[in-house]
Amino acid sequence: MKKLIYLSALCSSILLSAQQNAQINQSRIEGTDRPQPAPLAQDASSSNNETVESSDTGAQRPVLLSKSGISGFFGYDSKYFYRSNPFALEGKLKQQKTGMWTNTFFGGASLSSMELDSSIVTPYIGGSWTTNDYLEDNLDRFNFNTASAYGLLLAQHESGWSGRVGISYFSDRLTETDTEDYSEYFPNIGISKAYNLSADVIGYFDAYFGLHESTVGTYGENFQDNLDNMEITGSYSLFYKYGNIKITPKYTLSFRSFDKYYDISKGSTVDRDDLIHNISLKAELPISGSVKVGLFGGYTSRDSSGTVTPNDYENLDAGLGLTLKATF
Amino acid sequence: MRILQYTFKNAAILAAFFIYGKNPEVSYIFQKIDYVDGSVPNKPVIGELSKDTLISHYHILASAANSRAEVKSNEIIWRIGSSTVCRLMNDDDLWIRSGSVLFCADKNSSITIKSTKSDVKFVGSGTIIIEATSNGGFKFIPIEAQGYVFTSSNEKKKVSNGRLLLIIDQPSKYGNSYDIDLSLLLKSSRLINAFPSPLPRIRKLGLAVYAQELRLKGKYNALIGDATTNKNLQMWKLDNQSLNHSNKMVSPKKDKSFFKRIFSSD
Repeated sequence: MKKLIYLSALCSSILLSAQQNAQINQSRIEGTDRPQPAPLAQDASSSNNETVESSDTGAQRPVLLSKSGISGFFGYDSKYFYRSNPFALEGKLKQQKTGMWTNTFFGGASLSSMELDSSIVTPYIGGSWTTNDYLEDNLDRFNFNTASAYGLLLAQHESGWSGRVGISYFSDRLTETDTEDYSEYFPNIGISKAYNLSADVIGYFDAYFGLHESTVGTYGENFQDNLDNMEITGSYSLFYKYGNIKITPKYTLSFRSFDKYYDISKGSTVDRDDLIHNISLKAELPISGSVKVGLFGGYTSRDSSGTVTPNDYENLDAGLGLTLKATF
Repeated sequence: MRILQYTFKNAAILAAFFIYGKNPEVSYIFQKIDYVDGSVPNKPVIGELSKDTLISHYHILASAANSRAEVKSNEIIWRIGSSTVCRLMNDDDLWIRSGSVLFCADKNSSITIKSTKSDVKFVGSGTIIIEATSNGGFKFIPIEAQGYVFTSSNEKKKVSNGRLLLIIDQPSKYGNSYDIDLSLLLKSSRLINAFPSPLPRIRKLGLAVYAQELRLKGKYNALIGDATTNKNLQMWKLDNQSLNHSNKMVSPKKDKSFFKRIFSSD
């Protein structure tokens, strides 16, 4: 009998633990930033800082251009940073605070572009693989790896506006069990514009709309699409050059609407809406044409409505990073 | 007699106005541009260009150092650089003795560009810089342009944005061509930047830079200089800290190898 009670207690403890893990996982998944590819942003931010003497005809520097029109890139990005609320838990800013180390291997290419009368249309493809490690010992069972891929068609208009349509795919796998706890397809459309505010400052506006078609692996078959949502996001960045250092403040506002979100406390699906604010600051110093180091920080706040279970949260990230990128 | 000559000249300009449309109109002058009016044989008239000057194909324009001007003619914009000697001939043709001139046309045009030795015909539209070279030819630099160039022997070549083409010799032929950094050229060219009103095709210029960035694989540590002879083109080595050229001539060499590009500073 004692054995039965012990086993029963153990089972319920395991179940409770599994449920807590599932909730933490879902919470972590919801709090994970999944940056969308926006090739123009890279161009705007990488606009060179060359200084040259003026002349009537201008400096005539020979360049080497791709004959095929295909330009590829690959690289490695490492970030070591502090995260105050890694599981996006409701309440205080600091909960389960931890150091994090992420390592990303990425690659991609712009394919042959089509030159139309007043715009240029370019297909892009790319992908990445990221390891996400929590540095606190008791959190390392939540370490996960993310694989992503994207394809998009970007039309750059002569007015400076660009429009894009594309699809992204993300998959998170827990490192410990090598099980996929989340995946999603994200068809989306977006617009953006970069423009010079002064000789040293570039302003960049970006907005997109998309549908997250997701699969949550930890909640069973009935609730796999629990995190499906429609997202509208707008952001505004400044690219400012201070000597060789590139400083990028950015504000992002996102609205997400979930129409079949299962609320555990209510025991039924509810209409849930989230409003997410993010403000970030990044400073990057190029060491060479292909290597840069940087510092970054960001604050995120989510205001969620429509659920009994609270989903509001705040988080603070701050750390340093290293990026190596090569083009071919 | 002199009055008669002037009357005759003005009548000729008026006739040209009705035949060819508007006379070239001076829209901007910076510093000093002189002209030599050769409409009366053996009696050239020298004067300083002003906004009231009626330019005809008899006028040879000569700009002083650090001077420039903009002339509008039949929906074509001509920008004349410093230390330039040129003439805008009938049908918007250009003769250039030295210096540099920018051509900008929204509509399809047919112009003949002549230097002391060479000439080509361009049919198309766009923004093009023409720079005279010491060998008697000239550089044809289409920043953004659609169309073709033809030599006098009717050899045809499609123009390509950002591809500098050397025109050499008599009869004219095509010399070497080089893809050049459009972003840098746009930032550093006074013919583009040093005028009060932007070029009407400024948006197309931006698009041409974007298109080149998409295909960019590397930049050479050199700047193209003058073509002193048909076989020699000056190449100036760039110093590492800035893009001011040093006095050392080099042959063009690609920036760095793949791994050096990753691990060394540029």
